[in-house]
Amino acid sequence: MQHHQTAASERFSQTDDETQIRALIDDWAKAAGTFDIDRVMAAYTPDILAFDAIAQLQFKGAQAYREHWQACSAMCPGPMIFEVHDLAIEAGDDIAFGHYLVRCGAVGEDGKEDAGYMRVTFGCRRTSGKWKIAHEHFSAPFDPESGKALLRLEP
Amino acid sequence: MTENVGRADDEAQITAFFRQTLCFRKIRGAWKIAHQHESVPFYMDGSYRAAVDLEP
Repeated sequence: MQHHQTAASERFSQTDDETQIRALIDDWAKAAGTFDIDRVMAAYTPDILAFDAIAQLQFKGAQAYREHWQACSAMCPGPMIFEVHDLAIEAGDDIAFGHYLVRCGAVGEDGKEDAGYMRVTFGCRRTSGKWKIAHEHFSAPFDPESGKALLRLEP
Repeated sequence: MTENVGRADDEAQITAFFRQTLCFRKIRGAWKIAHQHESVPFYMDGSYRAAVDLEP
């Protein structure tokens, strides 16, 4: 962000954008944790371009991404763990980006949690006054020696 | 004041396709990378192998 003297109304407007985007991510995370796919999709632009942690290099457009969400939902029948940690946002006039760590996994039949951390970057676009997610990128790092994803790292 | 989010597939030296998200901040008129996220997916077939063999 450029640091310069701004009128009080402009400063309030920046904070307001961050508040709106935090609310967007919060609602999206609640929807993701329950696989409420319609509510997940409502957070995205129609032309969303997504890099997910599994399945494909990229998903182009809301329809393709919806199908991926549906496939993921079929893989995870039980209650999900989906916690957003360390959310940071930088907002401009109509474009913003942010990143966070997500602790995600599932609760087993025995009640035990099986969860790990991944990292997320997202980009938002404001259209008609509303912020929506136009890009998101989920991943885990991998160990080049073993060639395997590192799913048990802690922040 | 605007922020740009760029995304690209780039080919690493081991000829694998990675995904990259770049986020820029304008500082005194110059765009700088403030956040970078590079990855490949992993296989959910029990191996959790990094998927360095995918093509667009």
